[in-house]
Amino acid sequence: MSGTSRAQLCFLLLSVTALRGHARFLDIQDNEISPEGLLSLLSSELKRELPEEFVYRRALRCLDMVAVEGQFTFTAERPQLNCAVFFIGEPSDIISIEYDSVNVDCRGGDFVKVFDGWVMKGEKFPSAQDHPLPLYERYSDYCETGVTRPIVRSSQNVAMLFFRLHQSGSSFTVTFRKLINPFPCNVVSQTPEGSFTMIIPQQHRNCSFSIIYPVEIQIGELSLGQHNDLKRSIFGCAGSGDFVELLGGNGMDTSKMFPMADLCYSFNGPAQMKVGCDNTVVRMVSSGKFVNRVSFQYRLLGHQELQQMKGNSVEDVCLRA
Amino acid sequence: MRSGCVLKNFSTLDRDGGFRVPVALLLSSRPQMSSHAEIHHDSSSLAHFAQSVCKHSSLQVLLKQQKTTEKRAAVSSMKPVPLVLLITSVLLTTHIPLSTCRPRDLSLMNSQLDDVLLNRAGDDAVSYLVGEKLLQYLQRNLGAQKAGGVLHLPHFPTAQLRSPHEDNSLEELTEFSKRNDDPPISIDLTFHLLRNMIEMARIENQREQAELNRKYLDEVGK
Repeated sequence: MSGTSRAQLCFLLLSVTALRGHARFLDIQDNEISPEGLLSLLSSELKRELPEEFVYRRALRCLDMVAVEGQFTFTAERPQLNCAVFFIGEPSDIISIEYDSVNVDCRGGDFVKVFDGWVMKGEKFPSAQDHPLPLYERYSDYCETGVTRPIVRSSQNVAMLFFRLHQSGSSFTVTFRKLINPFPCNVVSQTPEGSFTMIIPQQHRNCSFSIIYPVEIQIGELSLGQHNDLKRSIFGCAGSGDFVELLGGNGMDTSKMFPMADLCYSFNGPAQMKVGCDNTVVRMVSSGKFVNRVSFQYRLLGHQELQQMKGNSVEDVCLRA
Repeated sequence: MRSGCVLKNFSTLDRDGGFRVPVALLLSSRPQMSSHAEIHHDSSSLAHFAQSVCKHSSLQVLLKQQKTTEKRAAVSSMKPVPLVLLITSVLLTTHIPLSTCRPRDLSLMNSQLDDVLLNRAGDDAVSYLVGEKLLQYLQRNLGAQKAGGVLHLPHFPTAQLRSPHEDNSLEELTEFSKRNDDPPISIDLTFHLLRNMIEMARIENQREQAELNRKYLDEVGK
């Protein structure tokens, strides 16, 4: 070995021995619901501040449904122990709730909680299988994290606010905003009639579109994966990672509903189905390998059609035709 | 060669003072052999010793020379870059302590345990589960120390938890206890009522959107 290369090698070895390896892990309290810090600069709430006179304001009721952006205040005239406010937006919106001023007695048993989804009769939408977060992370309590994280975001177009105020005179004010969601997954439809295209771009997730009416669904186009595998089993779509199912039931939880139809193959051209249940759901299961897309329309079933279906059907589960 | 054997000077030297010099020479070149160079006054034994030392040192010197030539041959055949990479990788792996890379360590689990025990042990079912899990955990970790002191847990279905799942089960338990703390909040509404509420909210939204549009158009139209 020549002198210069040896000298270089020795220098390299010396410098390497002087280095020490350190490992760091970033402990980000990254909750999907509420971004903070750097991310809040990029959030669209800052960009969409309306001037003061254009902000819609009204008082909240103990049981209320809100679909319009604005600032809402609840003032307790008497102890209110079980109150809930439902928030709903367009299918391609996500909900953002910001605590403006909260005057409640946290230690006295009061609470103000935001739930990422809707809960009705103990059933949640989206179900645990369709939502990325575990159940306890979908509740965001003001008394625990509201001061540090005043903005709570939902993952879909519905959210709820639960509150309990023991003293008269307690009040709180929240600002409700709707933000754009480019790939909506898990939607509750505001109307019994409409159309929607659900796209899952190579994500391993399940998405549900819930229509809380008895409707006739017409699927215009279904694009699952890139190649049709002929080795699918005859009995439903079990085993394939990408499919669309039509569910019907009388609750909000899609995992407790009955499958009305399974669609495993891509097709073009309308396919119709009438589902006579209180809640009709189009659910897409995606493995993450492909871009899956389904386009469908839906219209309300009239009373006569429902009667006809009831006459034809012998099953006890909600009607289908 | 400094470390060479000075056997050639040996026979010409005197008995006492003289032969200390080559031994001293030997000692200076091979310091680890100083223990061997004790008092050898007998010339024959010393000769033997010197011969063995010389042989040993010459052998070692020969071996060393061989090794260096081999090494040089190896080094010269190998390109400098892979050699450098090999050495740096060896040095770096010995310098990074692996424990600092692991975010989950025992202190974290202990703090979780404390949290579970102090804050959430109010509920009966949860405290029972906590007790069982704690017992398992302690058994597994302290079982080696306590010989034959294993308690029998009657009818506990998950007693055969494998150790990789141990951490997960403890975390699941803390999560489960957190979940139990939340009151089961739900609203009993019929779908009929929900639909009506949605209708009313939509009408309000459309009315408000129309108001906003009117205000914007008034602003623009001025």
